[in-house]
Amino acid sequence: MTARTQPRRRGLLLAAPALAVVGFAAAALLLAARGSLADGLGRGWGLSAYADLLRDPALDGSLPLSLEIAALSTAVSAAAALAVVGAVSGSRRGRAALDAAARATLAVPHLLAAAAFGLLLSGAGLLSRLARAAGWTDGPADFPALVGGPGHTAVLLTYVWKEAPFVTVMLLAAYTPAVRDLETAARTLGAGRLSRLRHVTLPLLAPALTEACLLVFAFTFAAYEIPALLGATAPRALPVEAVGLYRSVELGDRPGALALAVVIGLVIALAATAAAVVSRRLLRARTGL
Amino acid sequence: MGIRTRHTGRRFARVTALVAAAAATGLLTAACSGTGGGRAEPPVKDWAALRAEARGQTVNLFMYGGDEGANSFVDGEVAPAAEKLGITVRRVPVADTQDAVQKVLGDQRAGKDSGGAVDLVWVNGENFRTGKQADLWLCGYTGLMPNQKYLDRSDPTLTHDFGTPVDDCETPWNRARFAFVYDSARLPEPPRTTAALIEWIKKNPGRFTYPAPPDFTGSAFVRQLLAAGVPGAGPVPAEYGEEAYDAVAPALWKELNALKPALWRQGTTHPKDQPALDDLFADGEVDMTMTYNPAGVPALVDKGRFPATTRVFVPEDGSLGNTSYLAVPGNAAHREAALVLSDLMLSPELQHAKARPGGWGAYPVLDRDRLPEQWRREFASLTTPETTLPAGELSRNALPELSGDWVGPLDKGWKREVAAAS
Repeated sequence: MTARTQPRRRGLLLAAPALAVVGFAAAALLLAARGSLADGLGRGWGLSAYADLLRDPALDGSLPLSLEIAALSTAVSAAAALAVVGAVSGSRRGRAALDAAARATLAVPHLLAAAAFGLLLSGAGLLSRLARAAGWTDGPADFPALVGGPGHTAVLLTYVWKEAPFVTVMLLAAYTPAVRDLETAARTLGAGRLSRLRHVTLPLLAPALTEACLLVFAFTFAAYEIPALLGATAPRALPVEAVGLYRSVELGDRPGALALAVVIGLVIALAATAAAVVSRRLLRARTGL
Repeated sequence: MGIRTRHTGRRFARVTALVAAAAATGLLTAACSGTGGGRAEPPVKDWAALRAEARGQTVNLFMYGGDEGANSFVDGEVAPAAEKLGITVRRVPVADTQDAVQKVLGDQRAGKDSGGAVDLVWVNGENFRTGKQADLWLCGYTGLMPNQKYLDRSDPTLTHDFGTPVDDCETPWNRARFAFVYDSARLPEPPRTTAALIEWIKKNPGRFTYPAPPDFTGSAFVRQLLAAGVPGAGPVPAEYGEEAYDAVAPALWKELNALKPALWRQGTTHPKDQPALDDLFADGEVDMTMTYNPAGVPALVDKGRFPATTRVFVPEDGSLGNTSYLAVPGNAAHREAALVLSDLMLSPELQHAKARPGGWGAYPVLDRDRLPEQWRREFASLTTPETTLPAGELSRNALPELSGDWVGPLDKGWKREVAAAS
């Protein structure tokens, strides 16, 4: 008996910090849900915030925009990470260098990254000045509107710069010697680069890649600072819209802001469920169970 | 003056609606109605006793942190003067006054009726109105304040804050005027009227923009156009109402949308706040910036952020003016010291130090005719750097701010009709 309870208790203890974080997040979401059903002062019950949300044209622009930003950032980061990891996987030194570079980028806070990309890409930014010095443009107005422009280019670039290293670290961790042995075996059996990638590397890295993609998607969908600093005035990303509404001078806007927060939470929950299903399928396909 | 009489009904309706929504708590019933008497009553009725109690307290003064002139004035002048009364001033910078109000609201929702973290807030009209709706402010003390005798109590900008009756719930501190900032080297002949400004914008595409409302300055720019008279809109009714909105807003959105192609980046995007617009001006991306605090401009020139040839103008047909205030939340932990400090900040000494060129340069709220002879002379001898407006210009052609009820609908309308329209 003791032999069985001991590890279980230890497991619970080890899981406690994670459970605490999940508990805080759940409590915050519940509070937001409660606030979204109340009036501006947090009292009473009603669904009017959600009804208003359906009527608000801002949501038409914000939700697709946030989905687009999150999907594009995730896809490009994943592709870039796969390409880089695939390229250096053969050399031990290359792997070490890549790992160090990715970890260094991870250490840069998102806010700092946003500020740096703003200074680099804005109309009066470094690149624009270089373009002017080189005679390509006559002034800031000729430089493409990367920051605050309709394409949200600076937002996407900053996210890719921050998230691709994250996916890289996750993939490097999954890229065990066993994977490399299987690749080598496939190569000796005459498999080419592409078929090795398709039949060996990708299936073995898929669970790690899925998890990394889910985290990147959830983060980029719900993060505030980068789209707030580098995004256009309209439409604004969903979190920027929610914070703006919460800070409105009209107390009556607060339930709407919290309703937006609930929508953000729901989208993330949906993405997480989808990723869990996909990752279980992948595991089954690999183990043949 | 019409603001006061016509506005009361609307505000009352709002307060009533809130009370109804707040169910039977009964906490909001006497929301600062005239003589105070809300749940947040002043601690004592005697100023000397208040001073004694305030000794040894630390005031957490929440104020907009983006104005360095204001920051250094509070740190360099207010804090030492308060120290003499035994009060420590801790300046807490916020990105927007709304953040301080949210903090007090959060405390209130958590049932924290005393010991709140916010002791004093440098507040502007729309946030004062929001706080008043939620019954956040301490009321009914200004009559006790020794320095109130220097104020002109009949001045409508001191009885109403953005159309919301002050009702003895805040202390005036500062005057401001909406103005445009330009570089006289690049633009020797700035447009002198609002109509000329609009014409100039259209003739010089890409050289002008404004911060996106609900940023304070951007929101003020939109109201400025409305108050200065948009063609086809007619005069703006002081009291907000759906009919009044429908009567003036469509013409305003039409005008702003007509301006769009001539704006920076063809109006597809806007700087997110005034500092961002200041950056564009400093970088030469646009030819003008704007401010609700022209007193802050010389400091920016001195620091080299703006060129030495920077000048300020207000349209001759008028621009918005307002008074900003200091308010004490009802649950403030150090309310005695907060009250003594807000009186101190109203004193001729500190109002003069505030107006002094080389310092913040911000405009006093005191009525010169009520000052003692010595202070009258001191104020008369104040000079203004040429990079900003002299105090005498301040009241000339100043347009009263629209009622605070207009701010939210106009900000939302702008987002819907101008920003989202392509």
